[in-house]
Amino acid sequence: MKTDRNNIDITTVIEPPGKWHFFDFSDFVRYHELLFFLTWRDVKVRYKQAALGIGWAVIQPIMQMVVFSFIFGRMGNFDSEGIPYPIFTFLGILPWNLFSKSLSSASNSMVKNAGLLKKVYVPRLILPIASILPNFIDFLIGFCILAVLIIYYGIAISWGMLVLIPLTALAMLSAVSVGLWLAAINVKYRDVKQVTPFLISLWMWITPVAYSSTEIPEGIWRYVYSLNPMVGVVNGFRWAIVGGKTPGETFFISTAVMLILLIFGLIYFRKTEAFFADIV
Amino acid sequence: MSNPVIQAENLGKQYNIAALNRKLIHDTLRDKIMSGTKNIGKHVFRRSRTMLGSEIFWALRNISFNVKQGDVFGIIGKNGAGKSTLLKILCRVTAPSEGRAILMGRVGSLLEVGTGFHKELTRRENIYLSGAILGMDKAYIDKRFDEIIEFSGVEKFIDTPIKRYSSGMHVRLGFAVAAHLEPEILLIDEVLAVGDVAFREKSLGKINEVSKEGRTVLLVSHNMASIRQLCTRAILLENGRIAKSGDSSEVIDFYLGKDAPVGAQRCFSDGESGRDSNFSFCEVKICRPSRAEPCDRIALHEGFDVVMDYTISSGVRYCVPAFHLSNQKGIIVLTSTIRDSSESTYEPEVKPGKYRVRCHVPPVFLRSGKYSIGISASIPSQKILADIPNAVSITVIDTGGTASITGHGRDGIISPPLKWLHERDLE
Repeated sequence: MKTDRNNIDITTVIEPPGKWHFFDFSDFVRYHELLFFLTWRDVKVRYKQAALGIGWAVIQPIMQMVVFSFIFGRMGNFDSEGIPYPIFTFLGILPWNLFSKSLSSASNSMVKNAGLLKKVYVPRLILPIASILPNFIDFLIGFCILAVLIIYYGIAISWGMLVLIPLTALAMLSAVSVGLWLAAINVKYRDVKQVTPFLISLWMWITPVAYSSTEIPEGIWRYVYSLNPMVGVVNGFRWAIVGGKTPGETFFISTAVMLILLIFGLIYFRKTEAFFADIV
Repeated sequence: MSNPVIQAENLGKQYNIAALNRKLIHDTLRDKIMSGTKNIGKHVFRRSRTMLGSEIFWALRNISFNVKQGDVFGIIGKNGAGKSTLLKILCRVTAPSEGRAILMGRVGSLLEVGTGFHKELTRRENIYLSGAILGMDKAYIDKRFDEIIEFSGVEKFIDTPIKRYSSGMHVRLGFAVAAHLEPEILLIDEVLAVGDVAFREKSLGKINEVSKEGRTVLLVSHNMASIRQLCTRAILLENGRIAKSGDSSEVIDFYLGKDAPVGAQRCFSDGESGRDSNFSFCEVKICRPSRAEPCDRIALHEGFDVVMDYTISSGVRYCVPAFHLSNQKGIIVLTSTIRDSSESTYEPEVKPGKYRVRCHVPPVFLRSGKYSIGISASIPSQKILADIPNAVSITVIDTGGTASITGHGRDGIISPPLKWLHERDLE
């Protein structure tokens, strides 16, 4: 008898949904290796059969920086809070790309993994999260470019830059929170596939990627503007690297909005996930 | 040791057919919005239909059973009986609508071979990925890696993307990974039907071995031979209900007994045949060509006619009758509907009344042997009015003569003589 006594203790109770508790995170822990393998699969496959391979992760943000610098910095003469425009916009592009790529892959994660969803049990929440993580690799590469820019512009390195870590987490959590909604809705309505790219391109213009958030008039409009979680992230990035005005309350508004979206996103996802396999 | 490791109590799964159909036709928010705006009138209508219960479909109902540790438990039944749904509930792919099930121990499921394979990844990478999806950890796969490769029988090209290889190899690799999964409960669906004979034997052997180690296996299969060979106990599902449970051979005999040969003619009493109260088959028979009396032994060189009588009342305006013919192994040899008719003058729009349709199956087309014929009628792409599998049966007999040349010594389920052209002196 090879049966391991420890394993016999694992008891699965299958019941109609609704009676279940909130997320069963123990399940999630048990599948942490799967999370790793799915992430690794996406990383491996992402640049397969592309001649430039991982080079794309370098080219894309640099091209964005060049184009924005030319159009907004040079031609438009936008205010960049006294910072050289290329690094100013790059500090927006870097977290923005992490967010937008994560959001788009999370919203497609359920449909892309439909085969898996229909044939084997995995904690469904793993799928959007695993689809977000590979974007972090691109982010790290972008971060190397940022390091080069920091040295080139002779910006002093300080401990304050460590605040980038929670800010990066905030960007990814924001992508998770919106991504969960889109992923769950996408299972039923494929309209999401059309809406997502459109949503992301609009969203970029309400995020201070190419311009400074000081362009937004003080007062009520600034608060409304800060409802966008990415406003807090991008302002935080700029503040961490080049200093200037502290993001302050706009940052807290952004974080609070993100948390609310995340909690309700989790609840909505939880409510619908039991039937994903039936309708995907 | 003999405590049940799987306990299912009153499991049920319902689908909202209307919702499913709607989904098939409209898949977008636009349709939802569009139908929402003109919904006011429909609402009343829809509610009344719901009350009739026609929108709710129970794919499974009242399923209760226990499986003891070390049992190999079979689930059999026709297509659509709910076998796969049951398995999907047990491995948590989909949630039940009622009831509950308790599974003690780690559960591994194999609803499909090679789930999670990615064609761009190499064989080695896919083993790890697929293993992780099935719930193995990396250390375990490391340890069993060589065994898995050996079991799959494909030792070469471990580091080449699998998209360059045949699907047969995917299947072997997929099963090899799954076979090394060591959960206390293993749920398997139909995977025995894959691979060549030798590989299938190997797979069956593996399942046997697994149960000897004290693990529990739940097996869904159409292959009665393997169920009989492997399983100790079984349940038979019919229309989502348990029709019989007990020792596997007992259940299999009961199941096969249901398909025992019937005659060349069958009459139906009122309401027996239809799923819809507005349609009913009255009679179906097999006759020699252009004759009226039923005949269950048909000569190979003669062919035969399938004759169906049915009545339609005012509720039905369209109707397409059809039949399908299966051989003894249960393989459907052909399906034909009235729309095949070469004149194609048939308008499915019908008036109430009694109808007779007749279809001629040409001579020297089937091989000799026993065939069973199922009949059905439907409103095209909307609704099945009646469906009677195995309504009548016939035996096609090779009476010798010229026709027999085409039958013997040729492989195939059918043996129609075909036209050949033979030319010489081609430049």
